[in-house]
Amino acid sequence: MFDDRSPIYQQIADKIKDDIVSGILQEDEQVMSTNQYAAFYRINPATAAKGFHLLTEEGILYKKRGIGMFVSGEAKQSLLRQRRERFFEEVVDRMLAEAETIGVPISEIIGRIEQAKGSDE
Amino acid sequence: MMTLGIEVNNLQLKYGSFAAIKNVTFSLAGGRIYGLLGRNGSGKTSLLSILASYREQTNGQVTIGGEAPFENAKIMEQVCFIQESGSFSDSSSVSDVLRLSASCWPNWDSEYAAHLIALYDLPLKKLVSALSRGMKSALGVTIGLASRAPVTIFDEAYLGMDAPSRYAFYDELLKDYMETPRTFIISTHLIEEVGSLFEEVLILDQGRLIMHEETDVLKSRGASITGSEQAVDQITEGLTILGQQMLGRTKSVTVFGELTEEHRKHALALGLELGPVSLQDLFVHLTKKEGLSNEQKEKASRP
Amino acid sequence: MSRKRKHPAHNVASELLYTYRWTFIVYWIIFISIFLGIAVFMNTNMFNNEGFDSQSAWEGASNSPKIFLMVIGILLTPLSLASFVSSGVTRKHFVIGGSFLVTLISAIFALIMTAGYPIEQMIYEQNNWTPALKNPHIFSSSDQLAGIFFEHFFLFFAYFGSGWIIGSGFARFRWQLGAIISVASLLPAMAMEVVLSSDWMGRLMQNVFEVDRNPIAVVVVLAVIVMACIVGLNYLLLRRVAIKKRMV
Repeated sequence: MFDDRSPIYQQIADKIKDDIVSGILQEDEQVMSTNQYAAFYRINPATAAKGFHLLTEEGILYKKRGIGMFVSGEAKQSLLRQRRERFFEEVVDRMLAEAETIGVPISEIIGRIEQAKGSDE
Repeated sequence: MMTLGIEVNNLQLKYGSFAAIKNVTFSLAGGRIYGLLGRNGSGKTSLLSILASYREQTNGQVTIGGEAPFENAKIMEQVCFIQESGSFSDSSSVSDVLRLSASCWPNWDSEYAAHLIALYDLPLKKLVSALSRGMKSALGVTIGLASRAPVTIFDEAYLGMDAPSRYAFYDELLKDYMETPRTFIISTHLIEEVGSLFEEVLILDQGRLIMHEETDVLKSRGASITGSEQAVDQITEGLTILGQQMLGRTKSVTVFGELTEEHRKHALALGLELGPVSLQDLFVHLTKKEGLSNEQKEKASRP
Repeated sequence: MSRKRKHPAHNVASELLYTYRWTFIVYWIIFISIFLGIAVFMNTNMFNNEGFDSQSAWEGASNSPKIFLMVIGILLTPLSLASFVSSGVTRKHFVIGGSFLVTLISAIFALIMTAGYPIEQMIYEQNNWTPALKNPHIFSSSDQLAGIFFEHFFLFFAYFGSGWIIGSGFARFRWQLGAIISVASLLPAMAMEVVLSSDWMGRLMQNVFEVDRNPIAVVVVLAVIVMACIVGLNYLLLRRVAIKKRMV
């Protein structure tokens, strides 16, 4: 279910973000209620609500009074933008740092990428 | 349904010369789920017994819904206290115990009780004395939930149950809490299992309240720092250290308190690994014998 | 979920009555069976000679329900207080409800005892005996039913209540003190016996206190005072008692 690595509400928010990016949750689609989340993951509803609060603050979700929470129109685009930025920072830059530590030349990395891409096609 | 808040001010309870509760002060808003953690003999049951009017405090004040609960009929019928061993008479049958509960609790929900009886397969005709530990726990849990008391307290109430029954209890508790909000206080050893249900956590140690915090906030205040001994020592200078371990030259330290962004950056620059600490680990560190000095505990409990 | 609810004290009384219903019923079935056996035995005319002492057999029978009620009284607090308090009932309402039970059961038991006297008289008359009363009473013959009822009612209440105080004493104090209390707890029962010894009381009231009026009225007042003391003492013992895993 949840690990102890980060606060549960953060993990809930991340899960919803994943679902939006991967297309499981569509634009303007209603999200499960905090109570449903709480019951499903066996957590306090206030914790689930905190995760939702985080997402509304980021503009990922919006609230329709008395109905529930919905995925906002720009959610997917802005999440993709964020992830792209993070991708270079967290994956590419880190890979390059590691490559330098263990002495792998960049040309070898590029060769490997082209090889993988080639076998894809 | 209304929920009741609880105010405890400078509470003391003595058994003869032994002080079981020492100057405990806290305030609980109504309609939340609270976890009460403490080692054996830390005073959990004593504290809960006072809230439930099983005992009268030696000193200090308790109010529930603004009124002192002891011998107050209006408050006592709204506070349901379920202990692991139960307070049911051994010579009664299960159905007699349920009958008594149904007649005493103003908000008793007999349909819900019937649902729980079926869920736990409670043998209605058996005497309480003939029940297994797990069944006694199930009977207690059934009464606590079906009482729909605005303040419902479970003191290790489900300890005798096997894992599937315990999870069924957590699910029922959560479901019922969301349908009819009320104040739950749950004392437990099984922090890993039930910790995520708590909105706030209170930790008792040797009769003192050493922590009262939102669960998430409490968890965010603990961190583990792992790396070379020298670097760890450098970064943890001035921080409250709950515990430390050495493996060769690698040192792992559990610290308590807000880690600043500066700390984090510094730690990353030194090549240290930062990680969160589980509620269970925090509890163990905060209440272990050689853990914090009382002075440190006092400091730690201040938000 | 608003339901009409009984007053908590009323609820305590009816729950206790429910708990003990079979104990009471079975007790009287056994008790009456024994006396019916004696009656049948007498009617076989085996003892039908002029030398037979025609003393009332039923008169001595009231000792058994007195002791029985005292035992039930001893059990009352240890067996039931924790159940009620853990069901959100105050100790005060437990004492009030318990006192209702003691009153009701004492009255029912006294009614049964009262009914026994005319029945016995009937049986004796068939054998041409007159039942003679050996002990002092507030009544002087088997047909003063009101006197018979009240004497038994007061005595049963006192014994039941004394037993209850013994049980409450053990719940309130450690067993050493409880043991001492249990001896002292017999005082109300003894006081009631003293109060009800009408001839003795009559003499005392006239000679010592120079009160010259119908002693029955005084007896009733004193009996009610003893009853009130029993209830009050129980409340004092249980008012602040802590609910523990084992009440004794």
